[in-house]
Amino acid sequence: MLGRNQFWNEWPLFGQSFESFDELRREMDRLLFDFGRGFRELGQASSFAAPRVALKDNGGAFVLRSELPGLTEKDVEISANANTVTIRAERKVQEPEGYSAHRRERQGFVFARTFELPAKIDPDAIEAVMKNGVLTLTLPKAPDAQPKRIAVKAS
Amino acid sequence: MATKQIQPTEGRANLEATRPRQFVPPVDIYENDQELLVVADFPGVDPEAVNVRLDPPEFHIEGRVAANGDADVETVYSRTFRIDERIDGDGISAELKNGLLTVHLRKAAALQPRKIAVKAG
Repeated sequence: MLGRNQFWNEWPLFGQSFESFDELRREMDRLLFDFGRGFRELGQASSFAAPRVALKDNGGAFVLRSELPGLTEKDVEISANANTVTIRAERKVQEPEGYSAHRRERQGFVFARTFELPAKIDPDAIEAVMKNGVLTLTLPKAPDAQPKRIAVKAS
Repeated sequence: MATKQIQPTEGRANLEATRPRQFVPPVDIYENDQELLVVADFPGVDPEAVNVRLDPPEFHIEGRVAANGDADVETVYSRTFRIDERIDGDGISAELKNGLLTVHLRKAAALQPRKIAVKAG
């Protein structure tokens, strides 16, 4: 019988190793962002970091959701191939004319991120919807990456 | 007697799971002679799910996003500010567009600058 650790050693590419890389990348993104923010806003309170992104696997497709308040479909650019999808978006925060500012917490941003997907997708079947400042991308998996049901036979 | 010590914990666990996620959205506040202008990031919030309230001196904005495929619980964006400026209660208008909440708070008429015509004597 193989213990759990032995199992992962035998099959290092299955699952676990990718997860730790993703985790490391997220942590690095966060650290770099926090580091830069100190200079950008010197003392101003803000809860807003980079746009929040969530990537989910719903079986037949990946669903990527990103919060881009104030932006419309015209401000977002998406490109994809069989393994990656890239989102670019820019938000400019301008002081309205004729007003003086009391409080400025909202930040402009240039957002460009490439997501490497853990399975092949069909780039021609991608659907992108922008609603209430939230971008939702549906990335259907390629036919050979679709989940398969395996019948278990009684012996 | 002994049964008193046996308490189901499911109820408590459910309460924990259904508690909304609270967010403090970033807000800009601007002012000119006529009004205060409040702009807040409310991504994913529908116009019907916004609550704007002025209860002097407190000004409160809140937006809710129902639990969906992305979040198992409700998301609540909320901020409260103390506004010492006198605001005309009938002169408040709010708009939600592309996940951006904009509120105009008109200053009370008495405080608006008036142009005084000088007559020739």
